[in-house]
Amino acid sequence: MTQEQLLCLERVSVTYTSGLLRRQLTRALNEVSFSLNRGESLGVIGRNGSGKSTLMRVLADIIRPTSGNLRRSPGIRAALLALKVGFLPHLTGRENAFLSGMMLGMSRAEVRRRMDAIIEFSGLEDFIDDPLYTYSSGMKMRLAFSAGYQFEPDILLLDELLGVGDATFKHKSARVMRERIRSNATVVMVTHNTSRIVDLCDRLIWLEQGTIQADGTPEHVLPAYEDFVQQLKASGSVRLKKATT
Amino acid sequence: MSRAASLSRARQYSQLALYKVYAELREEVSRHYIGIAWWVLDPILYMLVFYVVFGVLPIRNRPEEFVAFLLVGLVHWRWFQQSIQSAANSIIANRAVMQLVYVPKILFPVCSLMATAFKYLVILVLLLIYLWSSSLLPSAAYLYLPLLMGTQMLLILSLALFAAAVVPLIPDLLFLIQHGLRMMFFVSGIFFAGAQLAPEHQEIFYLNPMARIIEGYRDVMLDASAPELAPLLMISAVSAVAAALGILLLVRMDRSFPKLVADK
Repeated sequence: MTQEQLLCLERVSVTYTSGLLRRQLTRALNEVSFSLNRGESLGVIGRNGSGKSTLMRVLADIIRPTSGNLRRSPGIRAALLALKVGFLPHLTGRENAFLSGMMLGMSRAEVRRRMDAIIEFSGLEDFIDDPLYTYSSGMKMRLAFSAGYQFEPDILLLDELLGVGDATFKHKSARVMRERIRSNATVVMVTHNTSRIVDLCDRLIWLEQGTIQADGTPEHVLPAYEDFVQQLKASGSVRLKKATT
Repeated sequence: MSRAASLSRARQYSQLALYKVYAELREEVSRHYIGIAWWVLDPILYMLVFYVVFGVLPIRNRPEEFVAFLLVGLVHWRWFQQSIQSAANSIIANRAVMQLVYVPKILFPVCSLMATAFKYLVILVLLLIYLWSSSLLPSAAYLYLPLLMGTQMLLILSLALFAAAVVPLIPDLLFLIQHGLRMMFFVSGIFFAGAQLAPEHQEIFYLNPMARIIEGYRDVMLDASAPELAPLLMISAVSAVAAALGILLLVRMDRSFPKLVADK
């Protein structure tokens, strides 16, 4: 099989500015380079504040790198599976599914075509035309996931998201999500939970202070990361350092 | 991106904009017990206050048909003011959304302007009914209404898009905008006609584009005469250029807004 490259990052850095005259700088990503091929399932691990979320936002084209290059194959779109985007409490479940689906990037016709599947998956047949504020939080998550799951971007970005909602739905949603990751969809997922990652991802990137520490197979990267975390725990250092420039 | 792909994306975003406007208007209606009635009641109460203050109190030299005079001014001022206010805040108001998905940020002020314009049209119908029932009937001069509305829309766009782009950079500007609008409210000739001012003051008064536009609406709706065209065209031209700059600014900053406006 020939490997088709979907996107490629070359020395991508992102700095956040804040304060008066935006003089204070925080470097969230520091010269990150890697490429992603079609069908790959890439996991991104790292501690809080290591730059995982910033990386996802760069991949989703929400923010632009401060320096460096991000090249996408023509027409390729990466999008975060974001739940409850744009949800409004007084609209019905159906209307919120439309709004959320369109916000994620589907056309109106596409959402309409998939509406039956959304309702069926959510199990909310009897409630779909009730206003959202009458939903329990579990029901809201059912709706949110079912609408979001229908969206199939070229590159699916997942932020700590497998199963959501009440116990039964959590199981169901995690199962379909795992199926999608294992299928030939291209996925980049960020996670703290390293236990599942070995059988879900065929490649791991470990970020620390905005820099790639390791990039390779999970069998390779995960032990190194876990050693690092163990060492930190042993030394009692839980303090996060601010990476400044 | 290929032409077909960018066309389909533009289509998708315009569908999204329309649905968002519909959703937000519906949300606003459902939030209150008497929902849609507030679109009518709120402006009526707003105008009632001014009617009581300026229409009932014994003020001398009041123009003829004062209530109609006042209402024409207030209805159009209100469209202007609410457009600027909601657009200025629109990007900050959508900060949670833009951290999660990419949408062109210009969509936010445009949606809020569409919603305010829609509410204005509802009020406009009421105003026309009031005017006709007080025997200020439509005339051929009404043909100038689209020109007046177009001019006002361009003026709104020029200020609203610019405000939408800079407020996320400096949120403190919201206060200045609020006070600036209040100031402008008192000098736009809502309670008085430009002709009542001394000639040397008129010159300054007419530098305010809203004063010109409101006077234009009164010429058409109250006097059945054509508005002065030259100043309106001038306002349109300057506004169009400013609006184009506003669009440019919003497009340039499109992917900076999520960094500037943290999701609080």
